[in-house]
Parts: sequence; structure tokens; C-alpha cells
Amino acid sequence: MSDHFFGIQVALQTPPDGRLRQSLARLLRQQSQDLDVLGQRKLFAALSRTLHKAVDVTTLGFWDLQPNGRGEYDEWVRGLEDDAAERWVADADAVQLDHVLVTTLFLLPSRGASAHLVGERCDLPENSWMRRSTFRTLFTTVGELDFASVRGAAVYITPGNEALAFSRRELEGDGYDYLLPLR
Amino acid sequence: MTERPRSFVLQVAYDQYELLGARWWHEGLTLKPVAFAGSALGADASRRAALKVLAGLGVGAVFAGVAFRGCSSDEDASTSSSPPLAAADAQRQYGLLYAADGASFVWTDTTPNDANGDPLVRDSLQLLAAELQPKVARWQPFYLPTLASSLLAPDATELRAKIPFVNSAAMQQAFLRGQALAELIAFAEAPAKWLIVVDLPGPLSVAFAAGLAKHATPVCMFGNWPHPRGVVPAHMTLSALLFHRPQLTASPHEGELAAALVLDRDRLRPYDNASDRFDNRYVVQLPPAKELRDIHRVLYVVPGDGQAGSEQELDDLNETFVSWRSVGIPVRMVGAADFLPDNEFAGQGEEASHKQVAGGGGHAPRHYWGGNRATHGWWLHSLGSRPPDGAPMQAPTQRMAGDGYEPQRRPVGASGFADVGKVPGPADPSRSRRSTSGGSWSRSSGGGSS
Repeated sequence: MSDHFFGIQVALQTPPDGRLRQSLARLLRQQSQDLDVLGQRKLFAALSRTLHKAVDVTTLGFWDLQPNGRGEYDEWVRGLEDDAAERWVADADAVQLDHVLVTTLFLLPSRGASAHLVGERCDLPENSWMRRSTFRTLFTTVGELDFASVRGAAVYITPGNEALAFSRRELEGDGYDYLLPLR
Repeated sequence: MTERPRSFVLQVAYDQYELLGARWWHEGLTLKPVAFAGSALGADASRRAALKVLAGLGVGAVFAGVAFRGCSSDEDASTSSSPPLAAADAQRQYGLLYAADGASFVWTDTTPNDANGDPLVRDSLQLLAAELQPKVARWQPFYLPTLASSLLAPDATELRAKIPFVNSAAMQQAFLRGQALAELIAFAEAPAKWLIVVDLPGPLSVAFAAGLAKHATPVCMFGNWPHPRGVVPAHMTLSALLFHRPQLTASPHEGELAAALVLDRDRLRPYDNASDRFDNRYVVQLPPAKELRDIHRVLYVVPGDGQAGSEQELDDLNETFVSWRSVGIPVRMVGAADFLPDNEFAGQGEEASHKQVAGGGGHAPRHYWGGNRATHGWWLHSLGSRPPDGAPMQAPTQRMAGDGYEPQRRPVGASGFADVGKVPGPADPSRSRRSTSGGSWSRSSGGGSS
């Protein structure tokens, strides 16, 4: 049985050490442990609520849903976790360092309720893919997944320290060209 | 108290300047397949299942529909039509109001407040599909969010803006009947071994299930989207779901609960291909026998109102019921109409015989199978339930719906269900559906955040 990859990455414009950054970090730190299905549901429901509140400050985004997505999932995991091995260097010339990347990745068995739910939610006309309302729906969906039918799940916040941040310019440059502005 | 198993194992966690993150793996995940209510059986059912789980995922590999509002007659004349589509697929691809030709939804029996007396919060409509997911994990794979998820459709703006609560007199009665049946579960020795299949017209099924919800986990299996010209008035069912949302979503998470599969009996409404109607009918697929090894009894709730066919399972259930019976799961039929107001106390203001009516703002006579406590008690006992000591018991003297019922294999239509729920495709599919073959919208090579 193949698995689907479902992933969302968003750039939030929020100052370092701001409440949103702290809220995200606290949530993830508290739940970085083995969890049961209910625990996972609570974590992602809380993340969903937090991201919902941040929709208006979500500047760039990307989301994807791929059948037979194990390879895609692994590639995203590798790409993001490789960041941990490279020393953080801030954009020294930036006017403002006020962006953070939040990424959620899922591996969903194709005939499970979660894949079904995501399929329903993501069946959207292309011209709506980058709408803010679409991301709102995606954030909602993250909080509604049935974790009894989720094989793999991951959350990443980049950079990890609340005092650090990207510049918008960095996220619009090389390496992040898949991130598109929300409309 | 037994500790819950930690099924999501933390594989790695980062907490450093560069990255804060965590990744989990669901150990020992054994997944039961989702039961899909397709628009047709056989090959079409498979196709539809694939569409919902694969093509429905549209973003990457298959296609993403663009909003489409039907085709003008000029276009019809100049282009050839594409093959018929499953109704819900057509609506997903081309819009909720595909082929509506300007028609609007019409509701009856509207009411301003829900069963709890609260007004409608429209911002919460998009959460309905998730909230209706069964609280008991064992039944989650069989839940069909299709109808509730129509509120998430990109062009459902008007539906979300206008949809009201509905609560008809028939729904109020169905709720009381559901409560009466709930007693069966309340006094049963092993409620979790009971499966109830509620097969009434959509809004009545919803109300009946709401009456049952304290003792039976509701598992909604509404497999279509509403449409202003729909053969199946699914918009009424959707409004009924909203009205009874407080009860349906408050069903307990754990404990000794039965389950109630909630169906819309109008799903196979007779339809003669009238051109002004949109065939949003569908076929439902109940859990196969192998998934019900823990179930000892099935109670099939039908209208039982004397109408033709009201004491027979619908065609799409026949094969499944026969298969259940073949593995020793008896299917008993009960007519909803046989739950009647307490005739012993009717009109006497007897407190003990009255129950709160959901959203009705008052009290209504308590309902009993056969119309009084004695026949009700006998019925509970005959089904293996154990009513309280001293409860009166008396067999009914009249014939009751479902007497002698036993599922038997029977022919279910010369053409099967091949034509059920099919609507004409757009006149010019190339104008309304964009292929993304070779254009999978994905992360650029070498991209990511590394």
C-alpha cells in the first residue's frame, strides 16, 4: 500500500522573540517525546490553531501532495534536518530579519482516513493554490488529521532559536524559489 | 489505569540555533481501509476510490480542476460532450454548482438555533467534516466526510452564507425514536457488540442518530454533495447535521458504546433521468463481514411506515447483509414508526413519560417500541437486552415492522448501479479541466530549505 506525502511550508513574518515565535517553540519543545494518537492529535491541533492565528502574517508558502510520496517525504526530511548541521549565518545586509519558516510533513497511507481528508481538502483549482484562504484550509486540515491513519509526521521551525530570523530577501532567493507569495 | 501505548515514536528531535524540530514514526500502524461510498460499484467504485484518494489529491500527479459553472448551450452545440461523470467528482472538479444553471438551494423547516439552542456560527462550518469523525477509533475508517466536506468547496461561499438549521416535526419525532432505541443499548450486556444501521431519509437518520448518540457512536456515511437540482436533497441532510451537531459531536469517546452507521435512504431515490435534475445519488458500501468479527448483532432501522419497500433493505445493502448473515451476524429489522408515544400516559402530563425534545423548546411524550412500556420491555428482552427488574413485558398483539425479516440474496436491478449518480460531463472538457501531466507542481529540484 503506497503512502502519500503531504507537506506545508510557510514563511511567517514575525519578529524574533515575538509571542508567535515563542508560542511555536514552546509547543514543539513540550511535545518532543513519544506520543500516542491522541497526543499527536493535540499537538497538531494546537499547531493548527497557532498557524491559523498567523495566516495574516504568512508571506510565502508552499504545499504539496504527492501519491507514492515516501521519497518526497524522505527528501524533505533530509533537506530540513541537514540545516541542523550547518552553522546559522544571518543575512548581514538585510534591512530586517523578521521571518521564520514553519514546516509540517506527513506520510499518509493511501487508503486511510487522513489521506481521504487531505484529498478532499486539496482538490482545488490551481488558481486558488496560493490563496491565503487555501492556506487557512490547509492549516485547519493539519489539526483535523486522524492520526490513527498517519504513518509519519514531522514539524520543523527554522531557524530554531527564537532570537534568530531570516530576511524576506533570503526566502525569495536561491534555494527557496519554490516558496511563492500568498495572495 | 492502563497507560496508553505510545504509538508515535520520536525518531529525532532538534533544539539548536539552526533548527527546532521533531519527527515521529507511527510504529505498528495497521490500517483499515477507508470505506468509500462510490457512485457505482465494481470498476466504477474502484475508480472513484482512486479519485478520492489519488486524483482527488489533484495538486501533484493527476489534475486540478478549475472552477467551472457549466456550459452554455452555444458551447454544447459546437463541441462534443465528455463521458458522464460521477456527480461528486464533477462537483469537485467543476464546482459545487456545476450544471446548476442558476438554481439555488431551498430549505424548509428552518430554525434559528441548533439542538442546544445556540445560533449558527458560520465560521465554524468548515470544521463540521472533522468534528463528525467518530470519536471511537475503531469506527473512524468507515466514516464518510463527503457531505460535510462540501462546505469546504472553494465555491461554497453562498452555501456557507445561507445554510440554515432545519428541524422538522418528523425530525423531532425521529430524535425521540432514537432515544427510545438507545435504551436497548443502555441495558445491553455488551453494547460494543451491537451495530445499528440507520437507514431513514437523510434528516431523519441524522435526528435518529442524535437520539442514539449517548449510547452509540454515530458514523455518518453520506456520500454525496448537495446540489440545487439534486435528486437527493442532501442540503437538507447537511442542515440537519448542523442542527444536531451538538449531540453528534458530544458522543462519548470511550466506554461501552455501540455504533450507528448513519445512511440516507434517499441515496437511491427513483429517478428517470429528467434533464432538469442533477443525479447526486450514490451507492453506499458498508463494512465487509471480516471487519465485523466483534459484532454479534445488527439492527437495521427502516421507516416501517407501511410505504412500499419500507421493510426491505435498499438494493445496495443486500449483498452485504447476506454476507454478514453468512458469517453468523444476524440482521434484525426494526421500523422507526413502531416507536410511538407512550399511549398509557399520553395527554396526562405524566412527567416520567416525557422527554426533552431536541431544540423543540418543550417536552414530548417518551417513545416506546409498540407504544407502551410493556411492549418496549418485551422487545428489549427479545433482543437479549436486560431491562431493569420489574419492568413490565408484554408481546405486541399486532404485527410489527420487520417481523420475519431475514436478508436474502435477490436481484438488485438489471444494470446494477452503473447509472447511479452519473451526470453529463462538460461540453468541452479541455476548457474546464487542466491537465498537469508533466507539470506536477512540486518543489524545484534541489530546493527545500537546505
